[in-house]
Amino acid sequence: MNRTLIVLLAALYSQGVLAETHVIKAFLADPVEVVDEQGKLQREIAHKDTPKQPVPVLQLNKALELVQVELAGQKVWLDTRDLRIEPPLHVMSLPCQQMPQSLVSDSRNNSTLGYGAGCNQ
Amino acid sequence: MSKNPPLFNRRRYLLAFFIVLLAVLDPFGLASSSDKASAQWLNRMFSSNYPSTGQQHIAVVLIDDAYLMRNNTSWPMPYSEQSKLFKRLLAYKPRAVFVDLLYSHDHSLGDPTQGSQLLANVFERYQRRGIPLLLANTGVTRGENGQANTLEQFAAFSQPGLVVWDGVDDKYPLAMPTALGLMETPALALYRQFCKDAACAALPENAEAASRLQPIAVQWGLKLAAEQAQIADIRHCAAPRNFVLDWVAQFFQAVFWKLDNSAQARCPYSLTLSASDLEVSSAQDQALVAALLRDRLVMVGASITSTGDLVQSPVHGLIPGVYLHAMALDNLIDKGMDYDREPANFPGWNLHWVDVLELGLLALIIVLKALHARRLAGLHPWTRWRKQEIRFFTSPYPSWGLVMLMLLVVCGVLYLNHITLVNVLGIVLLSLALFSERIEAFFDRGR
Repeated sequence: MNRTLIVLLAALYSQGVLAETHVIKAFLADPVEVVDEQGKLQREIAHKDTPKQPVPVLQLNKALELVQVELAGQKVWLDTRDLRIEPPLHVMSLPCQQMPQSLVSDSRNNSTLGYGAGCNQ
Repeated sequence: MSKNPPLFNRRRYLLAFFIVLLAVLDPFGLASSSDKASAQWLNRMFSSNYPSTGQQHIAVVLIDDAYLMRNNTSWPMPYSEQSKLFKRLLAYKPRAVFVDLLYSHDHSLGDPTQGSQLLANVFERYQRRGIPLLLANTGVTRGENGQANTLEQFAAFSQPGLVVWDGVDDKYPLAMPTALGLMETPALALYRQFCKDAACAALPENAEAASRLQPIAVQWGLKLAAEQAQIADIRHCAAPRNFVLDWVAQFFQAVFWKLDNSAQARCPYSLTLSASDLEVSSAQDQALVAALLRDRLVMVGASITSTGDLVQSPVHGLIPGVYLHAMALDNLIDKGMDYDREPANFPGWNLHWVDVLELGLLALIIVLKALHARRLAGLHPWTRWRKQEIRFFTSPYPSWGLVMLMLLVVCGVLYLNHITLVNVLGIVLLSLALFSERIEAFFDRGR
């Protein structure tokens, strides 16, 4: 019983604990866009008005790449692309993929895709 | 029998009329196929010399299978995934963006965490930042008779870019009448954005004026952008060669295509980034991607197995459809409104003056051939310049040279006027009829 409770509590607070470890070191965009939790634009903050000190991240929305922080006493969501966050939320180096090549003119693909995500099939 | 019979008898005139009729009616599409083959061959021959002016302003971002696998996602991509992709692109500050994806069905109805509003929110941010965004549009009324077109929530933050048309063969129109009114294609719409900061010759005033202009006979380039090697592995792409070597290779490839068709698989011309390239995290990599996308006209397309959006390029073979829009835009940036085109047809006829010019060249070959045959038969000269006629028509070479010279002059004049060239291959092959006696004599030798 106790073990289950501990696991549940750990799962509940793990995201918050994880988020607390991230800090906004710099605001890269000018202006910085303030959005809601769905990524809808709310307002803009001029770069000169952004905090000069590191700002701790309160919450992460990895699915939409948004972070919640407290600015001027208000909790707001920001786009991670406008920020330099330490440690980085994701690390990816240049994949240097092969340049796509054309298919020969008589190649054929006689199939179509099945259901994609979201169709609940 | 008359001592100096006419050059052609009645039956010959009847034959000439029949040939003209064949040209006009084009039975079985043989003449059209020959015209197309000639145009495609010429495009291949000149592709290595295509200027890179437009290439420096355009970038294609391709969503591919590798990107889907890397992000553990699927096709069609969930809106949350797409919102991330377009947010990343937005951060690189392109000049304008065309999305060659048709958002005609909401795949996430009733699911706010995955809903189309997530993507609409990002598109709204493009509008807010003043980055023009064009979405693929079919030009039909959505929902009417089950027809598909862009969802309303996306249309609110974007301009339409017409991606469906007919009646222009393999040409690329600037604008077309649709059920929703006159609509411009992505190439012209993005070219208008380009011209806001660049000196361009007079653009068509509006979509109506654009729709009256002839469509673009898209010319494809061959050499990859210099920056391409910085972002992708291009070792498998054909290395650039000397213009003459390319010419020779293209010529032999065209002649012996039945034996080896592999040379048609090539890397696309436009600067291409994979959607995965936008995900890079280090400052250095992000600076590289920013240098390639900032202030460029970006076209986002997909190359997913079994999605079927492929177009035929005479230079490359089958490539993702987004490259057609990119190449048409490239043609516009390179040549402005003096892009290559076919002349307009005569009213009520599927025939234009270049076709008449071709018939003229054909007529020239026939007249020269008749005069040559007359000389061989030892008949009296037909013209008043007897000595010159005898000298000129003793051998078929001067006649052939004259035809080639005329062809060259015609092609030169057409090229300078940005008109697609005449059927060069057809004329050259037909001109060989001037040598028919010699060819027959060669094969009959020793009989």
